[in-house]
Amino acid sequence: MLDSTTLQALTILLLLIVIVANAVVRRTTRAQRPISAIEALPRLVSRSIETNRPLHMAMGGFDLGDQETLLALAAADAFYESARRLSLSDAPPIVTVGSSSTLQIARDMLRRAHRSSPTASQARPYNVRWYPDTGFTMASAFSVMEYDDQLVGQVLAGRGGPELALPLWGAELHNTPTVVAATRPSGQAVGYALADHVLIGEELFAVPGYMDEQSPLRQRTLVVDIVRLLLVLLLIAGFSVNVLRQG
Amino acid sequence: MNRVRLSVVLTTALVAGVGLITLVGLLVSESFGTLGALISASPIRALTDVLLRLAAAVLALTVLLGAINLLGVNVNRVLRGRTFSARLGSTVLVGSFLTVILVRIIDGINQSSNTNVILERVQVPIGAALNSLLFFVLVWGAMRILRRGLTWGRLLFVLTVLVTLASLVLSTTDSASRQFSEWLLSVPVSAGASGVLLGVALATLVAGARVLIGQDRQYGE
Repeated sequence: MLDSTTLQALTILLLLIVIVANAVVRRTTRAQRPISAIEALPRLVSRSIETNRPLHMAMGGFDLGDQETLLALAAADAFYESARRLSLSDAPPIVTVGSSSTLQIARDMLRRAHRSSPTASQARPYNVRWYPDTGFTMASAFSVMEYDDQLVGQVLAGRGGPELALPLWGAELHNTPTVVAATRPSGQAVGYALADHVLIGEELFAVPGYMDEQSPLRQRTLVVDIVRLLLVLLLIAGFSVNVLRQG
Repeated sequence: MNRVRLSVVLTTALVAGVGLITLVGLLVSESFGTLGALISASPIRALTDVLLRLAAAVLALTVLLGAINLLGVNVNRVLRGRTFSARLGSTVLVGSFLTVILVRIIDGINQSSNTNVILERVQVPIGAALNSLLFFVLVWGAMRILRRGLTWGRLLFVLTVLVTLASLVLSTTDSASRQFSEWLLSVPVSAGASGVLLGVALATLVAGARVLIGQDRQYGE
């Protein structure tokens, strides 16, 4: 366990690294590698508009007020551009949340998306639902939504777990495309086996930058890349020092 | 020239300001020397406490918002659902919602525990049924991977699952297959899982730091 002085030093160091990395990426333009799950999102949006069927975007059970707060914001950011494009559809997207604390974030995201679209339709844009992320509640609700709401596709972000298999199975039976962005390894494994596309680990944070090249959040992906590279170098250095000491 | 809305600037300043005050209040202790003493003498600590309590109170209220949302969405679906099953499902949900509230009120008056009976007789068996269904779905998922076409990644995934399951079911504690399976779980699988979790944690940290310095400002208008 780290003592408080080390934690303070690490926090200040991290802030400094992010500030420096931000300054570096401002002058950088770099092509990003293709991610199939993100490439699938505009296709799902187009299909939703063409077929007049809603797209389901799940923000998962991320909670505000704990270490998952930023994951909740990242999920909302990830869906913003899709929601903006869907503003011209007569079938507004259905956004579900697993924690009641994120209801307002989801509503705010849809409101901003609707307002920022010059071609927005008059359809009610705030189709936000709360399904508590306890046991099978959320998973069974998603399974039923598949047919009940005539979904065109499902984008399921969240912690993920084995129960995620149920809605993915339902989607497969109805031939509905699915994208999974789970933060837990068990959810990742289920997504890999059953979903059409999977966002691995921190790729959820990269979605806004990929969907909109002008988005200021595009820089965030580059900063994460730089910090990750630093961390890898640090791990290799630590490992090498340990090996040399033992030798 | 990029135009920035005043409301965005104000929201960003509010978020970054509250975030920085809370960070300083929580992080800087007496061991920080002169800065620590300065912070202790200032009202920052007290302000941090107020902000944290305020956040907790607001979050507690959101449960009520959730219940209102649940009821509102399902009443709307009963009236304007896309399909008959949507209307039926929502009718059952609204009915159950009102029944549980009614039973709870009666429990309160009669000092009885009928709410627990509903939980034990309805919710627990449904959960158990879904659990057993889940097992078959996961097996079907493994088959689906191979049906989509064989790649090295998919083959490795299925083989890992099969070896782990087979060694758990068939082999004895000290057999080679059990040892191999344990190594598989404790070294490569654990390393992969740590990599995924570390990636998520890293991105979360960077996003948090960017919010604090006012770089990420997608919230509000």
